[in-house]
Amino acid sequence: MNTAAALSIGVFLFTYALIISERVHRTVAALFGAAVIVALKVVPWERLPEYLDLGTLLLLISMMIIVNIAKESGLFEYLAIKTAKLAKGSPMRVLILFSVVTAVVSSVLDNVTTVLLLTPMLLYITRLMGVNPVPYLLAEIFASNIGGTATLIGDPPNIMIASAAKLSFLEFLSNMGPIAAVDLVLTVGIIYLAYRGSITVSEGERRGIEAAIENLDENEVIRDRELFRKSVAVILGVIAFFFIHDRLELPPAVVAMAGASVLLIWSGVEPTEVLEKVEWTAIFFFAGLFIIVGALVETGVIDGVAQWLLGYVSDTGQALVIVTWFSAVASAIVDNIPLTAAMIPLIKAMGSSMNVYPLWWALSLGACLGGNGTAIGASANVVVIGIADREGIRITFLDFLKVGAVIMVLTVAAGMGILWLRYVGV
Amino acid sequence: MSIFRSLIDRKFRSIAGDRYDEIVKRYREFLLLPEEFVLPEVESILIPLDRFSGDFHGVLDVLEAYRGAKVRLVYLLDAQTFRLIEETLGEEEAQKLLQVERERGKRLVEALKESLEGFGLEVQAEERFGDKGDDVIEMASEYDLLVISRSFGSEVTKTSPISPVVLKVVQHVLVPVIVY
Repeated sequence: MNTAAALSIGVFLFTYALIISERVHRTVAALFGAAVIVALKVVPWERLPEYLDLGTLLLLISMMIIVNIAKESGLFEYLAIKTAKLAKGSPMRVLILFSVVTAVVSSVLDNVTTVLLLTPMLLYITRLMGVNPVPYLLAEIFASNIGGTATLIGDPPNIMIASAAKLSFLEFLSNMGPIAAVDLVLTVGIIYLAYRGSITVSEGERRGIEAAIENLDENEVIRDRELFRKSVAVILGVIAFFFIHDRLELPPAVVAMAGASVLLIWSGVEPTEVLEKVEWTAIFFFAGLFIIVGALVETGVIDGVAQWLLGYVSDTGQALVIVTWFSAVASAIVDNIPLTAAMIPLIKAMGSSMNVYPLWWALSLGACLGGNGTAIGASANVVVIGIADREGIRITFLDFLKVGAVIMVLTVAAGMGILWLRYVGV
Repeated sequence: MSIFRSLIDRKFRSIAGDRYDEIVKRYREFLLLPEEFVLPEVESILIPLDRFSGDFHGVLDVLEAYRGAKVRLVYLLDAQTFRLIEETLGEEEAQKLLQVERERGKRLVEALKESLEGFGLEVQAEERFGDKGDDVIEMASEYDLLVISRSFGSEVTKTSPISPVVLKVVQHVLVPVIVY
C-alpha cells in the first residue's frame, strides 16, 4: 500500500469516526477531512470537479429553493388540513391518510421538511381525538422514510445513487415505488396490530371531532394565493419533467434547477431570503464527503476492497443480500449519507465482474429503510421524537426500537424479496 | 434529562434549528382546540383611562358582545406627577393642570359611558389619583376582563407600539386583557 492510499484510508476512518461520535458537527468533520486530502494532494486539485458530484449538489440545492419558496405560500399547511378533513374524525382513517400523505409528500420533499410541516397538524388531531399520539407519530416517521425510498428525489441517498449510476426518475419509481407501496401497507398494518387498543373512539366522539375539524378553513392558511398557485404549478411541472428527463437527455439536476429558477423569476420573491434558507451545512457536508471518498477511489483503495469482496461474493444474488442487509443495519446506527457515499464507488468497482444494476436498488432500499430501525437511524426519527418531547409526549429509545426494528426487518425483507424475484429469479 | 433525551434534543436542534418554532407559530394562528374556542364568561369589566388613552371606538364592537356586564371606567391621574408639579411650580400651577386634566377626563369618560350604556352595559365611572401601573394591576384582580388602551400611561411610537405601563400591566394581571 502506498502513502497516498494509507493517507486516504486514515482520513476516511478519522472523519467517519468523528461523524459517528458527533464530537464535532458532521459538516465540519467532512470539510476538515476534505481539506486534509486536498492539502496533501491525495486528490490533485484539477481532479476535484470529477469527484464533487454536481448532479447531487445542484439537485439538492434546487429542490431546497423550490420547497423554501412554496412553504411561504402555506401550501403544506393547506395539505395538512385537507388531509385532516378527509379523515372525518376516524382514528383509523387519520392513521392511514396521514401515513399515505406523509409518504407521498416525502417522495417529493426531503423527509425532515415533511415531518416538520405535518407533525403539528397530526398532534392537533390526536389531541382532538383524545387518543395516544405515539402510534400516529411512529407511523409518520416510518411513512416518511418509506416514501423517501420511492423516488429519485425522495431521499439524499437516492439522489446520490441516481447521479452516480445514471438512473432515471422513472427507473427509480418503477423499481422502488412498488416496494415503498408494499412496505407502507405492511407498516400501517403492524402499527395497527401493535396499538389497536388505542386507535379507537366512540361514534359520538367521532362526530364531535369531525365537526371540530370541519371548523378549520384550509383557505385561511394560504398566506399568498398567487404564490400558492405558482408553487403548485412549478412543483407539478418539475415532477412532470422528471418523468421525461431521460428522454429529453437532461439530468434531473437540470430539471430541478430550471424549476427553481422559473419559480424565483415568476414569484418575484427576494432571492437573498430564499438562498439564505438553503441548508448549506448539508450541501458542504456532501461536498466534503465526495472529496474524502474520491480520495479512496483515486488511490485505488476502493478497487482493492471490491476485488477482495469479489473473492467471497460470486454472483449478483449474494451481493444483493449483502448490500441490502449491510446498508440497512449500518443505516440504523449511522447516518445513511456517508454510508451511501462510501458504498457507491464500491458497487461501481464491482461492476467489472457482475451485473450491479440490482445492487443500486438494494443500496437504496437498505440506506433509506434501515433508518426505521432505531430512534437515531434517520433525521425524520430524531425530528418527530424531538417534537413529541417538546409537546410532553415521551417516546423512549426502547419504545421506538420495539416497533422500529420489526418494521425495519420486515420492510427490508419484503423489499429485498421483490428485488430478488425481479432480478435473480426463483 | 436522560442521555437519550439530551442526544435527541441536541440532534433535533442541529437538524431542525428554529424551523419547527416558525412552523408551530404559523399553525397556532389558526389551530385552536375546542376549549380555546369558548369565550370566558365576563360579568365585570375594568377600563382604565388617562390623558394618553387612544381612540376607543375600535374596541366598542368587542365590548358590545358583553351585554349585561358591569363596567367600571376609571380615569387615572398620576399622583406622583402632580406632586412633582406642586413642589416645583407651586400649588396654583398644579391646581390649574388638575382642572384641565379633570375636564379632559370627564369628556372622555362621558363619551365612552354613553356608548357603552347604549349596548346595555351597566357603567360606573370615577376619577382616581394613584400609580397608573400598580393601581390597574391591583384593581384588575377584582374583574373578569381588563380593557386598556395600548397608549395608556404614555405616548407610543412606531418602534414601541405599546406603552411601558401597559406592558407591565399585561405581564402582571391574571385576568384576560384586551389591548386596543
